[in-house]
Amino acid sequence: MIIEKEPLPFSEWLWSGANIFSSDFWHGKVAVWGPQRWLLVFATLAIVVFLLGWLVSILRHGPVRGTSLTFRVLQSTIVDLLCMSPRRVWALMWLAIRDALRRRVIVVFAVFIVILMFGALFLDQDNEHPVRLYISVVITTTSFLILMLVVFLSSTSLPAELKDKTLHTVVTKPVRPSEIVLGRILGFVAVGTVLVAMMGAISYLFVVRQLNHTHTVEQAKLEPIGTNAAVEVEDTKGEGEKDREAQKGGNAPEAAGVALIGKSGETNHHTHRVFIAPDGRGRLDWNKDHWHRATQHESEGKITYKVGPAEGLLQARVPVYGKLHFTDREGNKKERGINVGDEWSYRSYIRGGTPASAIWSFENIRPDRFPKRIPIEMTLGIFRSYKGIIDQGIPGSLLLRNPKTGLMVEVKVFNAKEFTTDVHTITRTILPTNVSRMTLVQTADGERYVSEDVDVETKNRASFDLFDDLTDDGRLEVWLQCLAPDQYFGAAQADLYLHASDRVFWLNFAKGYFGVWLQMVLVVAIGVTFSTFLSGPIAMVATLSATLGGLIRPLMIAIALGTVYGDGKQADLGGGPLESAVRMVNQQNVVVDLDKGIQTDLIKWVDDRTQNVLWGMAQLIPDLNEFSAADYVSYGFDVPDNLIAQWTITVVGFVFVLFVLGFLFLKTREVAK
Amino acid sequence: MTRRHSFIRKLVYAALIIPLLYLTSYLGQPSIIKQEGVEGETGGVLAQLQTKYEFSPVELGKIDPASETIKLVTFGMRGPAANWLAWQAQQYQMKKDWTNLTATLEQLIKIQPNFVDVWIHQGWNLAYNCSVQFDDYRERYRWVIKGINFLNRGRFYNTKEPKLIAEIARVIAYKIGRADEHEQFRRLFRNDDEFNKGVPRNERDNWLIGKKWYRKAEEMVDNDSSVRKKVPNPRVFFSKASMCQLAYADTIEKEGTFGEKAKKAWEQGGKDWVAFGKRDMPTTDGRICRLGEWERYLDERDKLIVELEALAGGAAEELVAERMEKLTPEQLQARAIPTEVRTYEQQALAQEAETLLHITPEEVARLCDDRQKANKLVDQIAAMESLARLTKGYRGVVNYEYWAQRAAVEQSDAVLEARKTVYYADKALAEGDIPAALQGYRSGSAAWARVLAMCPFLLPDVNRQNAEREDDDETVDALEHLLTKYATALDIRNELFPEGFPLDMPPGPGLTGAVEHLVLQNYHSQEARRKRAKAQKALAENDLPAASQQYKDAMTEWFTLIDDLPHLEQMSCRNIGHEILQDVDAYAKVLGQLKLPVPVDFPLKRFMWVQITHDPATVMARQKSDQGAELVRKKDWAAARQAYEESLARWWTVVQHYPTVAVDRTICEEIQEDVDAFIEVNKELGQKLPDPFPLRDFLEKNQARLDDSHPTEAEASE
Repeated sequence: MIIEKEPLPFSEWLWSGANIFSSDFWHGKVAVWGPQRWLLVFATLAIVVFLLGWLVSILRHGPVRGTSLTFRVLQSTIVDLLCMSPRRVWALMWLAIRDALRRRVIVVFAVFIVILMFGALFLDQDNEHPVRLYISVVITTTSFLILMLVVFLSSTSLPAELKDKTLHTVVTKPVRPSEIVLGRILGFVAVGTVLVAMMGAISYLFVVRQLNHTHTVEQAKLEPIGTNAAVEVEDTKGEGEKDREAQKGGNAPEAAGVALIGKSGETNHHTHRVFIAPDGRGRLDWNKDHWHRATQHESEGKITYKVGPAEGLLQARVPVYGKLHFTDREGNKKERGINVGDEWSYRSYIRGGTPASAIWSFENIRPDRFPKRIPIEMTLGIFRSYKGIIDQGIPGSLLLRNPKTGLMVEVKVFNAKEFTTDVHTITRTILPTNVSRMTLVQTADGERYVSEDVDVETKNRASFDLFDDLTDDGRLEVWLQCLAPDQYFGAAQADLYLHASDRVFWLNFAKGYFGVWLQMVLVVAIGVTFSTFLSGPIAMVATLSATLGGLIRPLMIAIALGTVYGDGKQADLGGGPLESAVRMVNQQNVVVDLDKGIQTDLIKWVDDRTQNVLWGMAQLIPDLNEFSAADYVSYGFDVPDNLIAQWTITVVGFVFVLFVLGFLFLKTREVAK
Repeated sequence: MTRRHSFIRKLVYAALIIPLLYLTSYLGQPSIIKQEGVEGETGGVLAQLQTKYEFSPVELGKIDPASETIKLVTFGMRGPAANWLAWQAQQYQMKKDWTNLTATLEQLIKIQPNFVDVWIHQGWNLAYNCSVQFDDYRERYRWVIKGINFLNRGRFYNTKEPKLIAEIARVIAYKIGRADEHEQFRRLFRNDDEFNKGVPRNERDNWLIGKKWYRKAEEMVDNDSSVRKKVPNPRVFFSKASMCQLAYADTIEKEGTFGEKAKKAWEQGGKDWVAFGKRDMPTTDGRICRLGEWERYLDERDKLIVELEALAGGAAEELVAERMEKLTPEQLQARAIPTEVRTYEQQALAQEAETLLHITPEEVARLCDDRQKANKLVDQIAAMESLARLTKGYRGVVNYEYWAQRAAVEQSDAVLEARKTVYYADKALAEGDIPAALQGYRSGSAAWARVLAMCPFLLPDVNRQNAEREDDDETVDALEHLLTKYATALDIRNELFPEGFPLDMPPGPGLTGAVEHLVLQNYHSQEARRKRAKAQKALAENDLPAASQQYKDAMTEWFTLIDDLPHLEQMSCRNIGHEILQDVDAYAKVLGQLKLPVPVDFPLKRFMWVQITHDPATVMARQKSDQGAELVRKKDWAAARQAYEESLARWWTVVQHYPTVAVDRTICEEIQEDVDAFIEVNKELGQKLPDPFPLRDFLEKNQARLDDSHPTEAEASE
């Protein structure tokens, strides 16, 4: 799975510990995030709003009365916020729920069901990774429908009640504006929650049902290994898949000539290779992210095969990630490897046949976490600078190094596979093929790994213990090297991890839907806030814009900073929105400067202002995509609890601010007074 | 608001709605296709326009409910949605997220099912761009098939698109058959039961299946005049099926299938090509031509010219005679010299003369009594002339003549034999059976020489304006392959190409001519010769530094040529080899005159080393040296001294004959060893060393130079 933005550890996210009063912070050298950032922004905004209000009040009513009025408003605001009655909020929440039901929200659910019923028509039936496809489709569809619903619901409810004077009846009762706003938010969230839960449950059933299948295996279509048919079937399989089958514990027949090989019947647009061992046990090989067990049965002299359900499809792997750094061909420690000219600079590359390495540093690797073995899973990028031998993979090697003693042991030599998860299991007792000592020394330019000879005794040791010899207080380094001269391996931090354990899939699926739920909560809060001071249609357009902005926030920021084009490193290439429009009309290349003159100056002036405004807007909008766990779930990775906690706190922070804003806006309206 | 107001308002609304409804119906009413029992209707303006331009969904292909639904729900935002999806697909491709890429393409084509170029572009993108992203060739193959399947699905929505079918054919034929991993792809294709459902295994050749698809596209064009205009370049379009057959024949030979099967494949290729030549092709000026009838067009033109001249009643000859009288004596003299032996100046003069003597049909017509008939003939001649010219141009586009000749030649037993011999020699070389390989290459060379003597046209014309190598210079490829492999086998045995190679060469230029041809075709040989000419000119002017520089540049050009044609190192063509040796000699002489040594970075070191190694003097020197060593072991000092003396004498000959020995570290070290051994032997015998001892002096003087210079990268790697 690609993780372009790595989540921070929870404690670090919660409180970075940066001193916001230091000059480093104000010069942008230290960043803060999470609650600390929230507090900073919220406090600044609150102070600015308060001072502005005070100033306006002084201008309107004079210094004494103005000040008195300001503080009276502040006092009543605090009272309104602190003295909310849960009973009244509950009643208002019910009012919102009834309002939502009256507006036939269930229709959205019906639409969802219809989409799922015909979903298969829109999906790529031959996709190599059906799990990824199905899960991302159901989560995206749910998210889209729910967000559209709550945009409509939350933004039009209050204005409609204001228009038909229903709210006037409500405010004749002893309710506070804060209760009205909170009641609305909670009411719509409750409706959304029920819908998300229903959609989640249906989606889960849909995914499981769509993917659950078995195959037929006919004896007539099986042939003994070694015949032409065997060669033919083997040829169509990739190395990566074959290896993975072995890793997943398929019972590969060993005795050639007596085992059977062939093809299964087609189900769900795919077939499998079939291996039946001489003892009657067999497997349907790895294809489309799963495999099946097969067993042979004999009744009345007739041999039949029973194929089990798909295995390996729905997973929730818990990975342990390490920190990645590189060495160049001279062994110098580097942040990144070589760029081989790939447009996407996510992976950086190491040159084969040289000491250049990609090094992952893991922590807390202890026997209690990995009692018998460590499964290393990796997905590499491969770049051939020459064709080489086409039908042979690029060889690579995995080494383990003790960060303290520098002892380094080669544990695997393998042929690299691309775009597939390659599994290498390292047992606790390692029988080494190559032992060396790699010491990190300081040089004038930084740090450098220097290879040293190991003593004869160490070199001749028959085995090494993974934890005793190669870890230091739980720290372990995994080194990756490319063995083919002038060929390259590409790696990013998330490309290699230790597979610690597996969690229950349905729970992970629920976490994915929790992300959708958080998005929904945010949009409800935005909608309700807008509806407190805008009329119905305007509030809806504003909420819709904010939601769309939230969905494309990274693009907005890229437009604001002028880094849309290329790899995002060349700012202002092609200019801002107006310049881009002019270039499009004139069919002008982005690297050619516009003609100098007042026209260009004007375009750039307008673009500067537009980009500043866009940047400001992007800062106020939450990034809704950040709450999407679709990738984690669809790629079979457990959604980290840390991430769930961060998202929840972030949403609570946004909702609180939106609630206060909404309440203040409503409070200023005549109806609520 | 009163009831009356409300009523009036409703009336106004109704009044506005009715014309709008009419307008909507006028514009958007759908057409009804005439069927049995159903009267057809043309529909509204939009439907009529769609029918006129054959753009209605019904005309384009089948209707897919999913696609129609998705088009409907975009509410007219289809364009922006398609743009967004195309951009997203690009992003996914950049990030190598293949799952989402294919999912996005699914959505994209649902939105734009009738945009053929989207299908073609994305099908190609999958088969070519996405496929190569995978390191495993099996994955690559899967993506090629994905691309083909994608294109094939496009046919469902676009039933009248020959371009789409031709694209399917192209990917099957050319991507599978011409990719770097074509061997593996073709094997996988043969074994692919899923893709080739219902096709017997022996018919599963990508070229033949590609040909079938091309034929399908041709049939569509032939059977439906409405799609004819969708074919952008009919000459290329209609040539492809036959090209597939020819490529099939060629490929099976490369894979080791000869005999009757290969012969029949070429025969079929020839037949297909002839049939292609008989096909009516529209010309750019609205006429019809046939590529195979170019010669007939020329004949007809010539007949018309004869008729015109007859109409003029001998006036044309008189005009020629009259003009002949006006020619200068130089022009007449140049014209009388045969073309092959004319100098440049004579050629120019002869050309001038021919231009003056040339009489156009218009000029002849002016001399005719029956001007009306003559003018008619002139028009006919011009028309036939332009038709022949166009046809010739079109033939050039598809390389018509070359393929026609090649198909004919490849069917011959001689060529089949030549290819077969070389194929088995390659196999023997790969298996390490060098004698069999050498024998095979010798026979293969002779066989090719016979073929070239029989069909010299197989080698492309080096004098053509654009002498760049063309993709279909198959003969050149085959010869280069033969020579390179032969050279490899010889290199293993440390031998040069046999004197007079190939041994049993038939009359004619044969293989030697072919190698010369390859050399001549190479830019660097032309450049080396130009530099030599300049050096000779500089020498004539006694400008030694300039001559030295030009020779040095020539050496670099020869070096690059040998890099391109490495078999030259082993004297695959003695003429060229001697030419290079003469240039080296001339260069050394110029350096000698300037009192300069051969530079240490002399580029032709390796070439010279090969020549020195195979020189009889070197061979003898080594033999004597070995004898000396053997005698030293036996402690027969006197005989050893004799042997070493003879060895050193031979080495001295080599040093004098090859001035470049001075920069050859390997040879110098070898000589040094013999000199040292000679000194040792003399010591043992208590004899004085000869005085003078020029070889020792040469080595001592040279050693310092070699020591100062670091070994080159090539030397280091050697």
